[in-house]
Amino acid sequence: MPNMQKEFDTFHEKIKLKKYDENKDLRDKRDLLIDELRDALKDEKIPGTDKSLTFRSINQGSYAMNTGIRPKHDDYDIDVGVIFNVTNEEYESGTLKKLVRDKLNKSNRTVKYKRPCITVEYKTEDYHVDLAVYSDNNSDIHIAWGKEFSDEKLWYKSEPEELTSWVADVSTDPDKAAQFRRCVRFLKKWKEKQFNSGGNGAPPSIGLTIQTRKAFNFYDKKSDLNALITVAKYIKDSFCDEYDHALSKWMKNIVVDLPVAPYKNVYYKMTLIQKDKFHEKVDILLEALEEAEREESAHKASKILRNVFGDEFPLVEDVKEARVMPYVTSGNNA
Amino acid sequence: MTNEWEIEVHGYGLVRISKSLIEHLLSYRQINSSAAESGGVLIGKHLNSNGTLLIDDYTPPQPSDRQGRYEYYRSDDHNRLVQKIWQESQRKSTYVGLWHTHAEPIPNYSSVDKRDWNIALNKSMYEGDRLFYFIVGQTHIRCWMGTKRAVFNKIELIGEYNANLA
Amino acid sequence: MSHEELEEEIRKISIQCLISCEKGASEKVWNFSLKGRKIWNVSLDFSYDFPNRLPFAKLLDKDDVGILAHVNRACTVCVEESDSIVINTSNPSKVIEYFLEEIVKTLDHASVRINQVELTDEYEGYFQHDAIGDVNSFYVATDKFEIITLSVIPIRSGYLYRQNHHYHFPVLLLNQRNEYPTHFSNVKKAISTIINIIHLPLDTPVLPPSNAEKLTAKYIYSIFDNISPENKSALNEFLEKTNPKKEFFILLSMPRQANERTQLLLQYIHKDDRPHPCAEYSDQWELRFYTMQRNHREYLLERGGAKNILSNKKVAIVGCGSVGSEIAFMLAKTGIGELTLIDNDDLKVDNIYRHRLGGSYLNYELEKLKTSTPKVKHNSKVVALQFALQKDLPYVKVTAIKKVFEKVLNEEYIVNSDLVIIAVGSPSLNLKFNIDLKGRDVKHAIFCWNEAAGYGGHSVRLNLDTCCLNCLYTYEDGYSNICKLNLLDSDQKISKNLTGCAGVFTPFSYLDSSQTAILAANQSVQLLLNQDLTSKAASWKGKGTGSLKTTARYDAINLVDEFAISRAELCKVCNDK
Repeated sequence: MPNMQKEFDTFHEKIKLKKYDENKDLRDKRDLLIDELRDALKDEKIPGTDKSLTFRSINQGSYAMNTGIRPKHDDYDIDVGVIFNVTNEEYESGTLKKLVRDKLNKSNRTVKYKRPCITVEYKTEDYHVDLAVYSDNNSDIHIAWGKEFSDEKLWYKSEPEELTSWVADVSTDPDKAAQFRRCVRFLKKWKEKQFNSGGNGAPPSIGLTIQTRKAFNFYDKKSDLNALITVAKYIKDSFCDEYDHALSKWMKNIVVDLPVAPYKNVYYKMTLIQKDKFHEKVDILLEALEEAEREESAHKASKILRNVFGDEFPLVEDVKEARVMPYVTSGNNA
Repeated sequence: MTNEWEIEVHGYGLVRISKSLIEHLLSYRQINSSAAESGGVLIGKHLNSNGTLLIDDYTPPQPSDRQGRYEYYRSDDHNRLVQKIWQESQRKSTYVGLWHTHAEPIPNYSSVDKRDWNIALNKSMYEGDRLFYFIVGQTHIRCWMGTKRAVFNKIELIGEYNANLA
Repeated sequence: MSHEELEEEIRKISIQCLISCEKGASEKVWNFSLKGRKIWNVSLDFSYDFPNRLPFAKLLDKDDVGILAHVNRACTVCVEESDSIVINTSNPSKVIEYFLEEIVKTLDHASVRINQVELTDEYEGYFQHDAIGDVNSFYVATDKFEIITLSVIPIRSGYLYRQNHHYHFPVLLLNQRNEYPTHFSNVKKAISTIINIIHLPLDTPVLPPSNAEKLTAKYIYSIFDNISPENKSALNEFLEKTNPKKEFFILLSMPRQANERTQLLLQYIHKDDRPHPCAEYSDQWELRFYTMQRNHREYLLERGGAKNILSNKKVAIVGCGSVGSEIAFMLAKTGIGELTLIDNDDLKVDNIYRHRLGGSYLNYELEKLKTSTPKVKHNSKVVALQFALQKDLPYVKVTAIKKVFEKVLNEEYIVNSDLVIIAVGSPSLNLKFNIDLKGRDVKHAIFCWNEAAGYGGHSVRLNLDTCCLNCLYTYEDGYSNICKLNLLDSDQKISKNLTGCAGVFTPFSYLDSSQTAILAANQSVQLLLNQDLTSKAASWKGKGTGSLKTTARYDAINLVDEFAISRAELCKVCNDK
């Protein structure tokens, strides 16, 4: 039973995305855009007052949680939140979000108004920035939610910083916390390989992160493989049966609420068919991991794990046992 | 560039030399005029598929070795190291050859080297009937293969690696 | 091995995974029940050659066919053979034991569902036996929906034709712009009737139909949906403009883990007009399909990553006689991208026992001229070589320059080459070129020539920044006209003149030229792959056919000799620069 830890470590080194403090380049790109927004808003007043419109920015997403993986096509994703010093009454959510969009809309980039954020894409750069717009609302933070031309536009209670710290609080034991983050990254690679390229129907990464965090009330000192098995089992068991009348068959559904406000289901966007497929893929994952663990040959186990995670997982050589005990003579060279 | 140095040996199969081993060995090159000769053992794995032999590790010079500008003595400590590596790898990693450095760009073996290699073929213990010898020159690594035979052993040059081009 | 002997060997088998075995459909077929991750029922078909040849394994559990990797639609289990196992034929029962254990390992591995990806990767192979045939393709399938070109020929015989089906046989697939290497082989002849068909790229790989079933129109219709939204709207746009027909082709593709997509060319035939099979399902279609014979550059040059480096390289060959023409072919076969050939001579019948090209490139036809007396026009060596190379290999670009050597040295195609090979066969011309090249921006050159009468040959690879050919003629006391490489004593009369003053030639055979060419081609490839950029002289020596006097070097060297060249201190050419 090879535990494959060396291979998992090598794999992790290959896939992990460095944090901002180790990645000056991305940090500078983030700061550039934030500074630009601050500059563009410097003469802006909150309507009906002479108070300046200001904001503070926070990191969120996988950078903040330190669970990022290197993007497949070098399209780095920078997640920032901008929290404005306004109340929900002072601005309509759509108005403030539109203001941010208009201030950033310049010719070298495409700025998109999306449901949870404003996305800034650059024509010639290998990254994009997702800016979530929040109201501080007297320390009762709300997110500006909804698409530009939809009726569903509102301030939505949100706790982005609490979410980041909830994830970070997985353990005070640094080894355990590190294994947790590795497992999240492995699951993201699994998702990348097993769901189709457009990402349609794939579970969102935050869902996988939260479920891994919930599953992680243990620390497997020896092996990430065993840790992953525990996580995969946990995720599989969190599905429940639901009868689909349209298809006339039993399907698998899953509800996992955000641990912070707004406490909604992280898988809300997935259809029942997609969630049923998600269940099947978790089941296949679990079978593969258990099979890799049972497999006697490390070579064969690595082949299975490459089918799970892709070619970046190292192939263990198919090594013959050397039965002759080696003996090396001493000697001179010149 | 490709990751490995690969040598196809007729009648034996593909010998693969890992990039990291090459990088480590190159760090022992005798480039400045005072650098002494280094040497040690080549460690590898005999493969079932994807090649016949993978040479991917080595023993570095030991304190008990003697290192001069134009001479090197490999002590018994290498044997102890190799046996430990063999055991700890569940007999997967083992002794497959010897390496040492030369203070010349494209290295050639000396009569002393050849004697050492022949003694190794005859007296040391290893899997199969072949050993591989690297001499790390200032610009090139060359690889010879020794085959144990009843009367005369055969030693032949089988490959050359140009460090300036990698 | 007789049936009785076989039975005896089978009775000896005792391995843990064996549950039971019994005689199968014939005397040489045996059925086994094996225990792995589940119970596997397998039959082994022993050939008369057993144990020299391993038996054929078939999986008897049909439910598992189409789900398990390494089992094809004919239920054959493909056991991955280890590179280093040698079958010990003296113990046949052990061979069977080993084989059965490998089958269990293969099936166990395949039954872990994550490994199904290995089945979708081998989708083409799974159906190979059912395909009507192969279709050549220069088309590179990507994940984009496209209208592409298919060359076809009408079928006017056979059962379907008699049933009033009008249909075609597919011959060649091309992209929208009909691009293909026009000079290659007889590809041109494969293009006659051309029709437009669609390339339909599935978004994710799909499994074959279950229970070892054939490809059916129904199954295919069920997987059409698996395409990206962009491709779907492109398809719908196409379908709106498409009228019902008696025959449709669809190139279906899906992703594999590594590069290249799985591809099958589907053909739908019916005697009446029907809507496009993507628009509407019908069980009336006769469905056939063809597998792909990939002809595109990336695929053909893929083997060995190193060759991709060579496909970007340019080599100029000055002199396309017996040595030069041979080098041109050898280099082209290594996958070099671009060759420039320079020679002013015509190919004549005198050449054909020495030159790479033979009589098929000679011309015996009279050219009818209105004004003067008719004459037989010869082909030039470079044009004939260009034709031969481009006919043989699809992706080599050959430029033919019919000029005397002296006039080309300044030309861009010489200066811009990664390597210039001089194979003009004349020592004095070599030395002249050496001076000329040294004065220009050419860094790497190879000079190669034969010794007379089969005594040997030489190839000298030079980094002209550090030394030159003249260094091999420069001794401690200065220049001499004797090359250090010489294998024959100078001052011997070695040229034969058979036909008077018009045709002087040095006697040597085709084999000599080939040996010299091998040295030069090897030196070229090492250089172009960046494996060795140094200056080296390589020589081979032969027994010789005459009674010529040999040099001391001839006696001293091995059959093949190579040494590093360094600059001669007194070399006039190097010092002049």
